[in-house]
Amino acid sequence: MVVSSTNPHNKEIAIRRRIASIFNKREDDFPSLREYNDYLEEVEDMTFNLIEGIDVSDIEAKIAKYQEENAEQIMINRARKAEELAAAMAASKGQPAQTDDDSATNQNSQAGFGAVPQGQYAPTFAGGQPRPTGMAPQPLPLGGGDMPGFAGDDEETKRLRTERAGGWSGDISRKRALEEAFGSIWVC
Amino acid sequence: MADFQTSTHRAKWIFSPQQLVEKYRAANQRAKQILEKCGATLMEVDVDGSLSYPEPQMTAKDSAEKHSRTKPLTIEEEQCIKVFYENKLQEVCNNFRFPHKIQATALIYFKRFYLQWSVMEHQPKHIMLTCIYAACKIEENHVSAEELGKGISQDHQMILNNEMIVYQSLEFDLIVYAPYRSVEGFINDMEEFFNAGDNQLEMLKTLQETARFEVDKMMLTDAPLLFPPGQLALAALRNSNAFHRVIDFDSYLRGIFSRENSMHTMSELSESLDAIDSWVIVSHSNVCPLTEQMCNSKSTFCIGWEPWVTSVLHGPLCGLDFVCRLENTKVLLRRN
Repeated sequence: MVVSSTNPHNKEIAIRRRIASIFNKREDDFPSLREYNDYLEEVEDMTFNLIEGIDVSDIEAKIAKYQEENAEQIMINRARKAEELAAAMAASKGQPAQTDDDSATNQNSQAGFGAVPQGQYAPTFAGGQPRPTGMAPQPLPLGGGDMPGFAGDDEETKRLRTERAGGWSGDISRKRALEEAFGSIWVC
Repeated sequence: MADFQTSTHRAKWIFSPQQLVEKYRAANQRAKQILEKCGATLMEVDVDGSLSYPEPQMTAKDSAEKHSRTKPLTIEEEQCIKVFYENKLQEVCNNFRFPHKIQATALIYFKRFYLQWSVMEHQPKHIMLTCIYAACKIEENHVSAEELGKGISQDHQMILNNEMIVYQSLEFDLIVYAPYRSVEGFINDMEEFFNAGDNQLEMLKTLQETARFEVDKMMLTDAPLLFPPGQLALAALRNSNAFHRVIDFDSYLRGIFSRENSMHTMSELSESLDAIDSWVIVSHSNVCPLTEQMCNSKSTFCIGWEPWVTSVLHGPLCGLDFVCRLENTKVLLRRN
């Protein structure tokens, strides 16, 4: 990737994207908030040093070692993030989330833990679980083309989306009038 | 979202009739004592809200003059003056085409201010205009003091000078609840309760308009200081319905109680609504004749305002002029 010299932030953006895709643990992965915060601080220190060009070789070595040791966890978290993104997109279109994906992923996960008999398919990377390639619909690409679901919305859905975006609707004043009417009949 | 149940309006500014009378008497007594001691009652008010009591009169000549000329106002006379200026306040708001909410807010400020003070201590016309100015700020319909003063041919500096004393007297409790929104809420609820069709919707709109006029009348009495806005709204709707006969109001009230699961009883609510009606009737029957006379008479008390303001501001003893003007008015009334 060629870094354009016209924007000094491009380098930082690229570095942050790469680091975020490798160090993608969540708060749920840690026993306490303190440990999660320590993890975030360490990740930010590494990111900052890479951007500033401090101890680059040592940090790259550390990143490579972490990536090798936690390859499985990194892959799982990436898949989880992709699934949540797909579910969020489906929700914004008003379609129910596809439960088939979950069961398919679970089956693949279970298969990955079993012993591999001789002559059967073996994973190509050490200790990794097989990717669900071709087994389930792929997540929607980021920013890929228009969102087809919006064009078909009816007037009611458009109105609701407009109200949600604007933060106000006629029902607000109606609701407030009712609350004030019934909330102020009595003093005590 | 503002909430009446957690407001200072509910916590501090709803009184019993006895408390109201005690406050009026305390303010009146304090003004009488100042008049006795100083010969005048009007206070100098600075922009920062500090007060200066009038200078004591020490010479024998002044004492003799004071004894023969000075006469303090009674509590009833103060009430007449207050209602007069509340009517003026409504006129000013109508001329500026302010929403009813601003008018109601200004009226409530005016009432609360004169719970703490006597009309002999601060000129009600100045306080009235300052309350309008404050209400425009609080209700997000800001009108500058210059514009307000220009509209009524008065010096805007007087409004700014009194602004802080008004806020202090209100104890900076500036959010108030007028019955207008409650009326709207009950109308919306009636639409659902009666499953109103198009024809009935039109009648409910008419009911709401008439109820708004009823609320305007209530705002000229002490009822807003005695009852919560929800009860004022129901009383206004009941009176409006008595005129238009749109709905069966009693069945609606019973419906409210069956839904609300309240710890209060319907007879309790009916009692409050009847009390509100009594306040409106008593206040208007007692005050309206005198107020009408004051408005229609040729006394300088009511003509324009300029001569009266000039005499008050430049008289040798400001309070005396104020009191004497009222005496002249009373004489005229007796002659009529």
